[in-house]
Amino acid sequence: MMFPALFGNAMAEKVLLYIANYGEGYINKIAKTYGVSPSQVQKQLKRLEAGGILVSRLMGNLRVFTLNPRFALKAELLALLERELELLPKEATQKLFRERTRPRRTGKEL
Amino acid sequence: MKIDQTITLEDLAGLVAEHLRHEGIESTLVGRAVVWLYAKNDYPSKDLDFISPNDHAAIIQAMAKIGFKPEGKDFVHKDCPWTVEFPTGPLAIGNENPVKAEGSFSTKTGVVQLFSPTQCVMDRLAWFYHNNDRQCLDQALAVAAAHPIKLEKIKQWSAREGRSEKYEQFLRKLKILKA
Repeated sequence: MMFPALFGNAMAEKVLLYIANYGEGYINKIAKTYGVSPSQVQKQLKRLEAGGILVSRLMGNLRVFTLNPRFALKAELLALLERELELLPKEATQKLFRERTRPRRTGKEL
Repeated sequence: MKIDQTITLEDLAGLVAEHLRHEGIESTLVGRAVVWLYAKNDYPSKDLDFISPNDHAAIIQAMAKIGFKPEGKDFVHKDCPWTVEFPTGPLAIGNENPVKAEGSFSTKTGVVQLFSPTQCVMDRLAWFYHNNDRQCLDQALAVAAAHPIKLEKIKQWSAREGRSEKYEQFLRKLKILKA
């Protein structure tokens, strides 16, 4: 990632980029994407939620995090993250930020 | 043209569409294959999806004549690298349905009815708008960069989908791509 100092640390930046890109995220999925431990991700998600930047809701057993719609700088933060996503190398974009999220019939090859 | 391992996706689409037409069956190609025909991009299609209003039994019979057998939801051909599927219709773009496909694409083997480039962009954007699918945003941008499209039509449709904000995101990326 490119601007860890701006976001406090590299993991916080990764978490925010993930959520800006996919619209939402949960601990294990974010951790798997970056190949890090769930506890590292959880720590940052909690910190960002406590700071009012993220909000979460339960879906079954999953706690899903999104950007806080009431965060005063949400639009500006999203624009910044979106711009950073555009500046990433193509390989990183394809590897980390292009997972298919639209529906796919069960059994059909991805 | 013979169906074998060397047939291109494009020629297979033309061959199947032309054959179905000959058999009195309407078909419209949808999905990623349409993007692939309009703009060979980073997301090659692995199959052909056709929407047809005709009876499925008639489709099975027609497909058998060119060597495709039903296997689950797919039609497979022993010598063909791609499968063919007929998802349930009607044709839709985002929340709007039914929609009439306004495009056609000529191949060496026949003419394929499909979404116009503008409709194709809207179809891909729908998945970005409603499912946050970035692959589809890439695909919409690839088609929009390769073909003249009606941006005002896409803008109005985006507003009807309640996603004007995401349309602006698409537009900004398109401008960067074209610069």
